[in-house]
Amino acid sequence: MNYEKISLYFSVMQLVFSLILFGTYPLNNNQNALYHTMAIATFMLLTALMGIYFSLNIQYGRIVATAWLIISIVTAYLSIQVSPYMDSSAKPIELALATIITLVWIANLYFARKNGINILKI
Amino acid sequence: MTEQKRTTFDDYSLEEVPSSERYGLYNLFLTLSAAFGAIAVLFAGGVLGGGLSFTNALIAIMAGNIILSVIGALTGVIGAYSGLSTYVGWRFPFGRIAGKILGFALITVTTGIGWFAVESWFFGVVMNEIDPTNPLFSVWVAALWGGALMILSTYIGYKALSFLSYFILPQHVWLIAVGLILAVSLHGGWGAVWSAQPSSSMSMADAITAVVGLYIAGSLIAPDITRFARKPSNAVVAWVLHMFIFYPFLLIGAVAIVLLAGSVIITEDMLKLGMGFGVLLIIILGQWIINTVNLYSGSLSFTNAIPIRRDYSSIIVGIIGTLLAAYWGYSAGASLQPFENFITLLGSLLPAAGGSVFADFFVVKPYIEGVKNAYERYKLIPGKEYADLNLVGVISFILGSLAGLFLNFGIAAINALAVAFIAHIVIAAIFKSAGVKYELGKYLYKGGLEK
Repeated sequence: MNYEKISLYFSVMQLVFSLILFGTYPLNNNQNALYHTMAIATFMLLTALMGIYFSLNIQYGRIVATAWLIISIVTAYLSIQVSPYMDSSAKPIELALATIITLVWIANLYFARKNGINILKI
Repeated sequence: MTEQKRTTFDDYSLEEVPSSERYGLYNLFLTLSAAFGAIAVLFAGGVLGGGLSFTNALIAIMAGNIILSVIGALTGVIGAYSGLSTYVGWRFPFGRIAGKILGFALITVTTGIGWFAVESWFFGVVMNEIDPTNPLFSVWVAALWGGALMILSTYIGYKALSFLSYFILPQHVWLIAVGLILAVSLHGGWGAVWSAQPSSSMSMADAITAVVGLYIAGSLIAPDITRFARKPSNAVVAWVLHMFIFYPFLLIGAVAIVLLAGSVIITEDMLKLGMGFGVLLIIILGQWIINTVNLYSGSLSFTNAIPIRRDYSSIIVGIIGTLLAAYWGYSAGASLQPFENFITLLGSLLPAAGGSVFADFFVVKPYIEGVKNAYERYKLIPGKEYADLNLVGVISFILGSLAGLFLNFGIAAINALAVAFIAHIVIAAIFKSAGVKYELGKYLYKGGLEK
């Protein structure tokens, strides 16, 4: 399968996840958790749209750059889940979706490399 | 210019970076931001937050930013035009021998060995705080393996540096944003930020000096990174963008967090906010990339002084720095302060070198020597002879350094830079009109590591 098609599927998957995250917004029971959900959902939405745009326009370098951006931010997001200020019933869903997204984009980079794209030069 | 790809990690240390090995705006923006900003900026923001109100801190940051944007854009564009590292570029205003000595004294000793050792030692301290009972996390052992890790990424060179920046920069931005939102929402909203009073006081001049001083060395050695820019405009835009988007964001974020949370040590405040693992991530990755840049510049300047491959010189310089850090760790930080004072003093001479370079590239070369094409001003052509010593550069550097050390007004770094800049132009014009030969000695440039 073409790399741009794989990226398109992954981006659409992320778009759906971001909408689910927006849906979990009311489940948050404190303001900090609420901000956090809003931030990760907005980030996922924007980067999913970027991923879709770049995939449709077959811009490999930009897809790879987006993949690195998503992996970096989601890792940072996951790293502060220990905070007591992040406790809310929405968090397990967020955590699961963010972990899946990280794995998905790591896989995306693997496919990019398999397709001969330089994933270290963006 | 050779278009042949290299299989080693020399990173074109003594020659022009070929166009096939250059990068675009996004890469440059990330690398500059992550390499020169990151953790040091956070701590500086913390210090500003401890001494200024939020409004005054904003004014100081913006004033300092304007100065640094101009300086960094000017040096950055020189790197992009020439494709040469800072120190190889210094062969033009100072001559080869003086350029080698200055590069070695001002960068290899200070940044490459000195600050690399201090940061590696600090890495050991942080690791020891995380797990004091684990022998692998004792200060000196952690300094050793931390230093080795940093040597490895420096060995690979720009590729590793830019790769690390893909990871680290967005993470830093996210973590600071979360810290900022948490601090604001937990301590009474933005109104509390604007009305918060600092725990001590700092004058505006001191604050601007701090903002400029923190980053001026990075601004002056920007060609080490911007020589990889595909176009000169990429170097300027990437520099200005990171100065006006990333740098103030980190500083302002840190100021707000410190004003609200109380301690001037930003990471302590973030721990208080409950960002446990996130803070650890900032410290470890921040130190890693900062030290990779320290050693990278150190290895480039070392290779300029002693022509061996840059990847090899990163090992030599890195091992010296790591052993120094391990020694400090073993002897509980003994003799660190006098050494820090010494490398700070040496580092304070750097702006004078920058002033001479600006004068030479932007005024002397085009208007006195008649080299109008910016790509030709600092071009090393194999088989061509170049000067061993440029008296104009050396004299103006000495005058600028004296101004920086002894003038008691304004910002010392700017004084040094301005005096060296003016002196370089005036002396060059006088020598030229009097017919005095100021470029002494000749050496034949053979290209790359062949000297």
